[in-house]
Amino acid sequence: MSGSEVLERSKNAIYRITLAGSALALGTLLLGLIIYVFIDQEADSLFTEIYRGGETHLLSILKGQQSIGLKIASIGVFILLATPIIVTMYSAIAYYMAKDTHGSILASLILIAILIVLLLV
Amino acid sequence: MDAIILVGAGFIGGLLGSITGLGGSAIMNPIIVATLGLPIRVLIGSGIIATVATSITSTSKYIREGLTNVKIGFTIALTAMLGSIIGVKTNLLIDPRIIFIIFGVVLISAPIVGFIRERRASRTQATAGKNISSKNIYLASILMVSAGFISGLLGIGAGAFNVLIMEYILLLPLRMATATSTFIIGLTGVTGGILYIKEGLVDPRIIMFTIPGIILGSLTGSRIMVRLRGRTLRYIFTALIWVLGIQMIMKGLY
Repeated sequence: MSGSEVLERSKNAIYRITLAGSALALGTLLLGLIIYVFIDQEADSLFTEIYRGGETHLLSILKGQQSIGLKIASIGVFILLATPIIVTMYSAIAYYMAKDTHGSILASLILIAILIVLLLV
Repeated sequence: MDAIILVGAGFIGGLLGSITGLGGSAIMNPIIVATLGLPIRVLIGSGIIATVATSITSTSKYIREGLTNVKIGFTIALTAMLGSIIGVKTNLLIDPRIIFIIFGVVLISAPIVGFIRERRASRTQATAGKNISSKNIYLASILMVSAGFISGLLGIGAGAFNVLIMEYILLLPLRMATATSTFIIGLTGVTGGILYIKEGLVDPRIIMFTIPGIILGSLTGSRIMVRLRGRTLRYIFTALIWVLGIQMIMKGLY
């Protein structure tokens, strides 16, 4: 398969990844919203006990005693953030397969930058 | 009641944002500040996640239509991400009142940027991303630091600024510049979003209530845009945004 064919195929794959990512993330957020409003019934007191410090840390929400709806919504946020990262990873591999060194290096640099932000900044 | 206000603010943000090219968070945040009085930094942190949501939703459509130039996107996204990091760090250092003032100034200036772009549109010759000189790539990359900075500082996509840079320096056609800008917003949003999450400034409550509103508002706005023949309605929307901008500046000053 030629390099241009690989890149053409990668476009279709990126389309599917972004579509699946957005559908999954938005679906998870919507599910979280429905559970939060109708099952947990916490929508009435939305911001009465908020911002006392540490309460909005997404990881502590996942581990803590907060409502199930809020936990599901937090997972939705992580899926949202993961989607562009997966697209970049896929692009780096696709450019490498297509022997497009410039594109591969660029996508890898983006990933390294995200990794630095995640771990060091 | 808070939930209804959040969904409504998201809807208005999505509606006005898609018509004026500002994006949902830029308009939604001032409305929530005025109505619910939530801390601006939490709204900015949550708003930047909303920009990622709108970015990946639109990117899938643009990539299918072959409008996104992924390689150019990666090239200039790197410096935009650097700008976003600086923007978030600046946000955490400065007084919230200064954030209000900068937010107001950006709200007032962004529609002006749009009008300038439209007036000059016929004068430039688009190249569809081919034969771009390395000098222009360097210049665009440097300018993208400022677009990323605005995005990180205020939790908005800063699409109006991205498109301006790509259209005039990289000479991309408007639709390709818009699509590539949307792709870049996702990457700068991830960078800023991770940093705001680390600081505990992202609230899933705000995100889950505003995102459905933003998406509905954007869809309605894009339909209105198709039918919008005259500029009158657009001027009215711009005036509304300026009112929000002035309100933010006043909040910062007094």
